[in-house]
Amino acid sequence: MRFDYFVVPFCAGFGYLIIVLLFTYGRWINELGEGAALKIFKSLLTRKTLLASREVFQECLVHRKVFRVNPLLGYMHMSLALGWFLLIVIGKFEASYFTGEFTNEFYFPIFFRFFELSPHRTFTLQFFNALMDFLLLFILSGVALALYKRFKSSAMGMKNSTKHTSGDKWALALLWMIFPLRLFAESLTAGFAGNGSFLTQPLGNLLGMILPVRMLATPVWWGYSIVLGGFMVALPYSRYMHIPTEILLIFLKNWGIKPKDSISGMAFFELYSCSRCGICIDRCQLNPAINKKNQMVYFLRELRAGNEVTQMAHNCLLCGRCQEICPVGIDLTNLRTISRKQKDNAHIHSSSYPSIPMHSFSTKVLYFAGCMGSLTPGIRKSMETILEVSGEKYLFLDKEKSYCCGRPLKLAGRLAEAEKVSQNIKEAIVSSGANTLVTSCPICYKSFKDDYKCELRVLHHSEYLLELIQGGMISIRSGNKRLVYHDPCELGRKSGIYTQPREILTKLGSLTNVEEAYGKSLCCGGSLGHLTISMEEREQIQKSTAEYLNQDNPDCIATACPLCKKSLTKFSESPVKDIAELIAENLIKSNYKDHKTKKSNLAEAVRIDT
Amino acid sequence: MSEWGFTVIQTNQSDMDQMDRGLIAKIGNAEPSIFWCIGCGSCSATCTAAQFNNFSPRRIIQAIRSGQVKDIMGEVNKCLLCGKCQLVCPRHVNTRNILLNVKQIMGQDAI
Amino acid sequence: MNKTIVIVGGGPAGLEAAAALGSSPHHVLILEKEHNTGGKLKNWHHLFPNFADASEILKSLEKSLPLNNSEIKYDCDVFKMEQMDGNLLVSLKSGEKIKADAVLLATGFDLFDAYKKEEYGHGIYKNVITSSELEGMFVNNSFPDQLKDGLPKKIAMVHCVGSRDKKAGNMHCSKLCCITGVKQAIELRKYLSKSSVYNFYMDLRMYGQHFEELYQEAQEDYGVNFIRGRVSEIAEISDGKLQVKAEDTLSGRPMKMIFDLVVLLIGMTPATSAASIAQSLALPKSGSGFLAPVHQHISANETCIPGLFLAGTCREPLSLQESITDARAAALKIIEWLKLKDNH
Ligand SMILES: Cc1cc2nc3c(=O)[nH]c(=O)nc-3n(C[C@H](O)[C@H](O)[C@H](O)COP(=O)(O)OP(=O)(O)OC[C@H]3O[C@@H](n4cnc5c(N)ncnc54)[C@H](O)[C@@H]3O)c2cc1C
Ligand code: SF4
Ligand code: SF4
Ligand code: SF4
Ligand code: SF4
Ligand code: SF4
Repeated sequence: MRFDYFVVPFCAGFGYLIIVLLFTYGRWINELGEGAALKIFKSLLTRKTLLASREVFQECLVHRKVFRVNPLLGYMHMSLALGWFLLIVIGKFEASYFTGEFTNEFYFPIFFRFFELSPHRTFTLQFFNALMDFLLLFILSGVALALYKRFKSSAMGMKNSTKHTSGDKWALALLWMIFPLRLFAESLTAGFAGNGSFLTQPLGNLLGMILPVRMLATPVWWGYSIVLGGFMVALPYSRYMHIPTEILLIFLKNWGIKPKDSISGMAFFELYSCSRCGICIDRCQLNPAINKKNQMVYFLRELRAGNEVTQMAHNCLLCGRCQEICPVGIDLTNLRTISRKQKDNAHIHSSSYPSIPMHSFSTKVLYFAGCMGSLTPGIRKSMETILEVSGEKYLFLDKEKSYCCGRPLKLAGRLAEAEKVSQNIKEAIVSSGANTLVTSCPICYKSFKDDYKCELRVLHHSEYLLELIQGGMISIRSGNKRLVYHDPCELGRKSGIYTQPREILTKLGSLTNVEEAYGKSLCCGGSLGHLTISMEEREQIQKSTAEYLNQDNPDCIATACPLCKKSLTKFSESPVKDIAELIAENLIKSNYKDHKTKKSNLAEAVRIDT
Repeated sequence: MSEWGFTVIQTNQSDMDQMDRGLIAKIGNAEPSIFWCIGCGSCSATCTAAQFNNFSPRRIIQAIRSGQVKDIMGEVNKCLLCGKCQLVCPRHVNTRNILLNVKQIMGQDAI
Repeated sequence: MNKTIVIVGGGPAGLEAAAALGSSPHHVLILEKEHNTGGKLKNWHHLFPNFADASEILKSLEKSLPLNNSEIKYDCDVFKMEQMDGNLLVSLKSGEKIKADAVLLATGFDLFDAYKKEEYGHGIYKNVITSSELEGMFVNNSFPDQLKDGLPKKIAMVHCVGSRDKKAGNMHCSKLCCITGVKQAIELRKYLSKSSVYNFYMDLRMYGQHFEELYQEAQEDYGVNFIRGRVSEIAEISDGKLQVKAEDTLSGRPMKMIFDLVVLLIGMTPATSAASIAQSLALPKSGSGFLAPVHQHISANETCIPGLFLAGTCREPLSLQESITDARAAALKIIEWLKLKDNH
């Protein structure tokens, strides 16, 4: 057996880490909830696992998403992760090749050059040797970049960088020492044994000229082992916990495990997968406009530390801009939302919840403007005009009274109440016998589509209007207005509707693109998800977003949400209009037969309110 | 309504010198816009919950400001958090945050 | 020595200032951007508080213009000014430049664009009109069909549209819309005797001579209803009927009510036509964007630019009577200033 006492610190650290991880993950997996085990079991031997493995390779090792945000930062993450990973794997191959057997002491490959002192002669061994030196160099370049980033984070294209906890500081210091120590240990050994390659050998020779390398080598190997072991002990208490956790998270996600509505199980996997890369910081509009140190990375840190986070949880627009870019793909807004739950959440008050009077109607299409719609009559009126011209028989559900879809309560973390409110509305919708529900409000849309789980088709009006146009039910004049489209958070990022509004707009005029669009679209500042922000602060966001959208002096800013329209109008140079309004303005009414008779039938049905 | 027997039992005046200033002090700290309300009623008019409930955000603000906070917890729970009140308020009062703070502060006191 | 005084704006304030300057030896030049004088006054029918005929008053204002030393130039849109050797160089949009020893800005106000309060539906629902549009109907005696058929009608007057509203970006009270609302409520009751009128208000600001009396008259003689609650939104229900939502704050319950016509009492906002002038001279503005005088109390007509004066509603919301008085005060200041300039 190859052994030297200096490997003990490494082995102890490694053992400690394995025990802690097993214990921690065991607890979290236990908390995944009912059905999780079955789900995992069912998906284990399917394509999902393969996909997850590919994702692990792409994200945990190559850091593809970080690359996309910033190549230099991506390189830094990749050199450390992929480099280290390869160092371990290739080291294992090298050791196995050398000894001729696959099984050897698990620490042997790591301290290979300590134990194998003969200068290697065969071509394959020289190749392995050079490869290992190359990988070490690769990692060291990443470490150098990381050091540079510490002192000058703007070099990485990031305005803000994260602050560290003490666990982090220890782990970080140890991590930074690991590879330089390995370099020195190997070089010193190479200095007297000649077993190095292109990096370690010249360095070893150089050191040999000025230092007693034979005497120094063992102490430095000790140092390397201690630092390595120390790092593994510190790992569970530092941001580097994300290294093992993220791998598991990716598998769990691919197997279809979803976070529950409390901080447990899956939420822990997410929480500990955050690498504190800080990419989310600059994305947050609360950052430049209001300068509150409250972005996701800070929030997750506090949450992980078990500190009181109610205030922090509320201080967020839930716009999802950070989530869109987070390289780990953590469901960040959900973690905020569930942390908003209050102590008295279980208590549901006795007051009645609004519900739409239940009737069954002959109409197949229901129109729900959304409660915000009552403050933007331009959109409602346009929808009425369009629907009338199309000849579609429809029922205007919230014409006289506003109903709440329940999503605001959900965003505020009051899930039980939200459930109750939506249940009532859902019953009315279902009992109506309609097959299509059209809404103008992206918030309601998200709610109807994802939470209600009704049988009928749920469409945002941008989808429905495009259908009407494509089906020839309405026709519109094309113009040459220069339009800019603003993606509403709840419609774009949250519901994935990006193309339909744009398709309509290209029929109406020429659409100019702005950089911050689609998933990167700015929040209008009106977000319902933030309850504590003051109107003055909101106005700062509204103003900067409106100014951003006006940068090319468009003739009109188009959007598809009553709240966005309201938020942007005040500070926008050019008029802000909903796509429904733009269509109504450009509607060709020539093929509009007199629907008067139809209409009076309808009037009866519409007045369902008492 | 039962008839008043002309017997004086206790005062019906609100004694503004004796009012309970505890809640308003705490809320005013967390959400100063509670002091900006001019009682115009726009919030209650647009309020989604107030259409169906005996509920009025304006009345709650007034009650807190005048220290009449006895049954206030039940009241704030009626809010649906739809946010329209803040959108129509001519004084930028953040009504939802006021209600949220009532819950948080009163909730803490109850424990 | 005779000097040139330029008055920018031929509204009531501009006209009155010219008349007051008639007794001076100076040459007075009124530059008006439209083809006629009178400003907003020419759009009004009868004036509060005494229902005086607006056109009569305008006529008398125009008649008192001195013929010997004053001149009106129409279609002259002033957009820039600069200081030059103690004088002011006035630039018109046409490119023409005029040298003036003193300039009086009487550029007036703009009416608040009611569409900015989208929830009130102006420009969306045909039966939502502004107070200014209602005046126009009275002036031209042309009313929409639905108001003609003699049937009882319900009409809502909405106070504070675009005033006292941070959402609209205007913190100021426009001062005159309350009394205008009361006056128009009476006029509507007179015109449509079977109608009922409801005024929705936050506070009734009856600050002027005979204003409170008019309010009382509206209640006593015309049965106008006053509801203390600001309207939150208006929705069209069917056939042009409008549902108004407010809270009756005195009884403490939210309410809705169906109306045939809604009149929005729009406020006064700073004139956009004065913005470029103010910018070219770096003239300070008050919180709501009206032109700011040097001193609110003792020199309300003077500015920090030597030779530049303010009169009328360009500096704050004023009634006709106040605008006229203000113009006379400004005229006096101008004469004093030119005398001082001569002595130097
Ligand atoms: C709905 C309503 C009803 C009212 N009813 C009454 C009433 O009944 N009784 C009463 O006492 N008051 C009433 N008022 C107030 C009255 O209208 C004003 O006090 C008065 O019009 C102010 O006169 P002014 O000259 O200051 O401004 P304006 O009337 O606005 O005149 C300004 C003039 O300057 C011109 N001008 C502006 N910029 C330029 C430029 N850059 N270059 C050249 N010319 C320019 C304009 O074209 C205009 O002719 C009412 C106001 C409103 C809003
Ligand atoms: S939340 Fe995502 S983006 Fe933000 S620091 Fe963590 S891993 Fe990076
Ligand atoms: S959801 Fe939006 S507001 Fe909240 S932290 Fe992310 S970017 Fe910031
Ligand atoms: S809308 Fe604002 S000012 Fe009016 S009562 Fe409500 S909170 Fe007060
Ligand atoms: S947020 Fe609450 S108080 Fe405000 S309008 Fe909605 S239900 Fe009413
Ligand atoms: S005068 Fe009356 S209606 Fe006009 S802004 Fe002032 S309070 Fe409102």
